This record gives sequence, C-alpha cells and structure tokens, in this order.
Amino acid sequence: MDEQTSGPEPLTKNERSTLRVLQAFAIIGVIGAAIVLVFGIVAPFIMGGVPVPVVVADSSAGALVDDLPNVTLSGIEGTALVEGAGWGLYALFYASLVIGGGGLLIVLITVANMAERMLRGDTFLSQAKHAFIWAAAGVAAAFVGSELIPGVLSMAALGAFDDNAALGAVATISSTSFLLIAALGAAAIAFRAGQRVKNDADGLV
Amino acid sequence: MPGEVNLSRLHCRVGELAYEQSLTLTQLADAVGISVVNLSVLKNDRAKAIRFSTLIALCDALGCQPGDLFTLRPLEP
Repeated sequence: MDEQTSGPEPLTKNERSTLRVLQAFAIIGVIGAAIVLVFGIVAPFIMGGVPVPVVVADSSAGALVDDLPNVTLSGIEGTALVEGAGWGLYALFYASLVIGGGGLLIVLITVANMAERMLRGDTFLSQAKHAFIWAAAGVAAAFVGSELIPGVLSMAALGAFDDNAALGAVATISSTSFLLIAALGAAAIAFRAGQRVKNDADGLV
Repeated sequence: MPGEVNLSRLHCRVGELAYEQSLTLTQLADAVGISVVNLSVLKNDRAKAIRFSTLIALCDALGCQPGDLFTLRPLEP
C-alpha cells in the first residue's frame, strides 16, 4: 500500500475471511476441474467410444402414459456411446472438453488471483480491467465448450445411431453465460470507478 | 485539474507547531482524531490533500490559524 495513503485497513476481518474462503473454493475448483478434464480426456479410451449427449428412448414411457393419458413421454436426455467414431466426433468431443474445461479453469484461476491481490491490499485491483476480460473470456469459452460444441457433437453423432436408440439431438443454449458476461462488464465499470475514487483520495489526510 | 504541480513546495508546519506546544505526535494525533501515520505524512510534506475537518481540528489542537500551518516555498528557477 502507498505510504501516503496509510490509514485504516481497507478490508475488515470478515471481508478478509470471505476472500480467503472464496480463494479456497476457487483453488479446490481448479483442482477438481483439472481432474475432471483429465478423466474426460482418457474416457474415450477407457469406454471404447465417444460419449455423446442424445435423446434416448425411455423404457418407462409406456407406463407413464397409461397413468397420464394426456402426457406423451417418449424420450429422455442421456449419454450414449458411439463406438468406432470418426475423427470428426473425436475432434468435437475433445474441443468441447478442452475449450469448456479451459474456460472454467480460466474463470477459477482469475477468481483465485483476484482474491489474492485484494488480500494483499490492492482493493480496487489496479489491473481489474484485465481480470474481468479474462473472466468474461473464460465464461464465453465455457459456454462454447459446454453448450455449443456438445450440441453440434450431438447432432453430428445422430447418424451413428439406429432410430430406436437415439430419438434426437440435445442442443441447449441457456442465457446464463450472457447474463454472467453482462454482470462482469458492470462489475468492471464499478471497479474502474472505484479505482478512480481511490486515486483521487491518494494522499488525502 | 491543474497540470503537474510540485507539491513539495508546500511545507506543513505541524511538527514545529506541535513542538512549540510541547505536544508529541501521538498526543496531537489523538487530539485531532487522525492516525499517527497520517499525521506523519502531513508533517513530512508527503500529503497531497487535507480535509477541512482535519485542518479545523489541527488548528483547534494547536491554537493557530490555517495560515500558520502552511508555508509555500518559492519556485525554483
């Protein structure tokens, strides 16, 4: 901290504790995401095929429909294994893993790094702009890797199944990522304003 | 916002005035209600700005006027 602005600690005990907990969660998340990523990479070799999200036939559908005559339930989302898949499916599967997992890792590492810097006294994060850009890029990558590419993978894999095995592709796009990126943008603007106020107050006695 | 201003030209006489009043920095800081660190920043001419509330409290504690607290060194050629 700048000697000229020395005064009361910028963070209270509770805020420091919260940041430490946040940092610990982020580090645990990084380890967990890395493990999941490694397992995902070796999964096709262990399982003997590419796991693909598809709509599969629901064996219990008949019974449900008997009880609920107005409901037509014919399929549920599940994961099917494509054996002897072509390189295209493998490429989509690994792209989904690496881009999605990488995005998640970037977000978690950015959170851990931001918490560390705030604990060291850089309350308004002089480099906040870069941190928020990294976090937004991570969210975007996670969105592409966990929603867009699996949707394409699912559609691309449909041809490999019998009509009875897979009823349709699973492709969902949620608005969560867009909302997160918008929230990160708003937080970045708030941090920049905070940094400006801090600069104005530097050396104020 | 003015351009580059040499703030070291402004000398704060808080140290001299405290000495004249036989006050230690700790006593003065307590009387004014600011930290010793901030008072030291002021005394060593490292402050960039001072709140009116701090200025008034300093004048009250030292029994002086705001003008007594500061002197401006002449511009160097």
